Amino acid sequence: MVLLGQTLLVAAFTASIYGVAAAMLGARRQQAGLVASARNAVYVTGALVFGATGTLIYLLLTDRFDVQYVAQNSRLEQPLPYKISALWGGMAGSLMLWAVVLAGYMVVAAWINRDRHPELMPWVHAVCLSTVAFFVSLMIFSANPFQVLPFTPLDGQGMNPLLQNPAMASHPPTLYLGYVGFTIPFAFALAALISGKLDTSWLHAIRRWTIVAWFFLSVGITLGAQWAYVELGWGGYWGWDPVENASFMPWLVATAYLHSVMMEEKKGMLRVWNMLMIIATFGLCIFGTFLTRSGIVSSVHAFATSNLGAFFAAYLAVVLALSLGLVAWRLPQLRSASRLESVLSRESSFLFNNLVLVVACFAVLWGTMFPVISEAVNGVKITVGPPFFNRVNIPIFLALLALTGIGPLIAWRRASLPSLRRAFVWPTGTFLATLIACVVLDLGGPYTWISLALSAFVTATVIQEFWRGGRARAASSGEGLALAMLNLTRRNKRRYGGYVIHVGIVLMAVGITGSGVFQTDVEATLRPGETVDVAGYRLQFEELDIFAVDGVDVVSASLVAFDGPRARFRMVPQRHFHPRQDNPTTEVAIWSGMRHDLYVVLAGWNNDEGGMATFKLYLNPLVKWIWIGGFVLMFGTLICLVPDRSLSDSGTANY
Amino acid sequence: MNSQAFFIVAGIFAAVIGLGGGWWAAQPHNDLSQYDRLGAEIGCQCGTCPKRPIATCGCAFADGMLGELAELTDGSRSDAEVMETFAVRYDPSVRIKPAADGLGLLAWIAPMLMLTVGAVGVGALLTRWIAMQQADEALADSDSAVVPAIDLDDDALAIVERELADLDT
Repeated sequence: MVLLGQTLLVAAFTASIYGVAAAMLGARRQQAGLVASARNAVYVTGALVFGATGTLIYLLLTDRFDVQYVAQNSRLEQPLPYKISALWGGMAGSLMLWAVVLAGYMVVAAWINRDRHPELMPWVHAVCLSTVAFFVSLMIFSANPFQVLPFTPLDGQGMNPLLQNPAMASHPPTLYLGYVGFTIPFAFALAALISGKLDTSWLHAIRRWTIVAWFFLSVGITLGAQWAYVELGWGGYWGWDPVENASFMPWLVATAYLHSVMMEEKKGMLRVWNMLMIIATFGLCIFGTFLTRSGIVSSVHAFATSNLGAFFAAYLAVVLALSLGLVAWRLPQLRSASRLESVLSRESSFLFNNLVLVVACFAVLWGTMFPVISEAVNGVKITVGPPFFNRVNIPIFLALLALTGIGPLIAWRRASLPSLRRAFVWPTGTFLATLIACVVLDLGGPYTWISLALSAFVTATVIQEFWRGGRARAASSGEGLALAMLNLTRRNKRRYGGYVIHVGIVLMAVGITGSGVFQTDVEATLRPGETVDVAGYRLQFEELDIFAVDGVDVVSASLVAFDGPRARFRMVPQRHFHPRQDNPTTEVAIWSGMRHDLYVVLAGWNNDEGGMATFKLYLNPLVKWIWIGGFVLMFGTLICLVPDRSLSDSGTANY
Repeated sequence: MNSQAFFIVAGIFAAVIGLGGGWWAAQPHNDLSQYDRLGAEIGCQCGTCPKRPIATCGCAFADGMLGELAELTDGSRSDAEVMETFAVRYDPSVRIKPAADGLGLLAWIAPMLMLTVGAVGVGALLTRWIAMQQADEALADSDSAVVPAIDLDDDALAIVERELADLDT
């Protein structure tokens, strides 16, 4: 099987290189046979990469500890789901995941567009296959997942215990579906630049691909935050770690693109900018992959330091040089007749929205790389942590939240003052009422007031948009208001799906504000029977228990939470000692409600003194709204993705 | 003042705002006690946490560092002295908030500068595009308003009228 895996990788590399050559020659000489051969190379490469991945999974499932990757990332008693998720638990396997996800996307894109975009597709194949070739070459020449050990250990080391968590089992694949998904829009953008077919056909071709990639990236980031919340045991969900930032940066730029592309579709504007946004998004995805594997920044999430960083840096440099060179070459054709009728227009609000999103991305990138920059400049590494990111980004994100509300209220082309007055009255009133309520109730400080007031403002904007649109439709069609709103959404899924996404963002903003500002924590050392009070709850420590499950030693503490005289729920924080791992993992106990989470960490214990234990107890207000907001955001994105039936029937829908 | 001059002045003003904003953001939270302030600026050195502030980290190592911070913030030392003590005991990377001077200040200023100057840049771009649109509209209006004067004699006029009548039928 090891030999099979290695052979499949080499064959995939060969097929992809052949496919690149055939696609380029076919496009240059306009030979349909060569182009068809390149498309077949896409399918073959995809099958070979899937085969190699299947082989590695088989090796993991059959405990083949003679394979170095299996020995490092699995063990006999590792639960089955984590034996599978060990595929992306290590460096070589994560590269395999990149390659297989890209292979899947590439094959689907080739199949869907087999009879479309004849000028673009050869170049799309070439870009996708060259990217696959790069990742497969890394596995062949540097991080081989099929590397055999000179001896066969009796058992493996096991996957990092921190990764043995349901959220972490699903977080990397979703994140990669996002990261890798942006390869397809990038490939179409490059294809348009190379072929010179710069009309809007490439934009229509990538519309759904971009939203799909953005959807998975959003899900991946949310799952990562949830993993950090339940697994790392510090009471928070986002620590501005370089690897977290690496996933956030392409999300910000892709969000900017999803807004600015509307201006190109509607008015033919921002053509260079949109091209740059697509290139930047893909570049940041590669940069994020580079960041986690190069060791240039320290992170708990990063893979072990390797020589892969140099390869990624070189690849990124080539990608950026080539892409930007193509943009420069096609600049005269990309220049649009940029015209705006008024500052008071949806277009101008989108421009400011793009500015803020790009500045937010820059701030995150700048903070992440500043230790490297400072060391290069004066030899002293200046560490940049959460105090910097929070202070710099909070005002930027508040500005973004404001624009989220303002944008939909302004008409395309030109808004008259009376129409603006009508549109803004109710949301502005909601904003002011919330602001006053926050000040009167003394909720936190100015940032909290503004954040909550802007959240109310955006919500009012969305409700008003649905209400007005629904009423107008109900009046003209005779439908009931609810049905009219539903049909309105069905008729214009991107617009109203976008509004639902805005609601998701608002819910997340409320959750982040609440948990960031109003978190309270208590530390207590208790003997069995003793109690501690935290924000209205009384927790009584019952007992300490030590036992073993699946080869893992568990220290478990049991507490009963009282709300008044009545026992309401039990909490069982634990520490797990995994075999052959230096540090125990923290398994926090969380009671989650709509108003707040009660979050308990077993910080220490002494079994000799009658089972004494030390707890860290956090009350995290509104955290659940972050996860609910994530679901709403996903729901809104799915609305945007629902195919338009009339277009599908006519066979001209774009994917 | 023409629009170009206006935006140059606005750009300079925005740069000043950006510099000031960056400098302001870099300043310490003086509304907090020295213990709370520095607890948020010192990163946990356990090697497992991603250098989270010891005030919120929650791990046993951070608790130990907080104990040391409590001893050092007895009012006899400045923030810089406390930070220096931690840097010597642990590592210079213990400070997770860039300083408000030297190269550290650049970390704070750059994003603010980009935001403010960028906003003026977008404003200038908008103004330019609107001006181009208005120029186009004015040109289109003037084109439609001009009617070329053609002197036609009665015979020629009759031919034109007959041709037009044929077109109508």
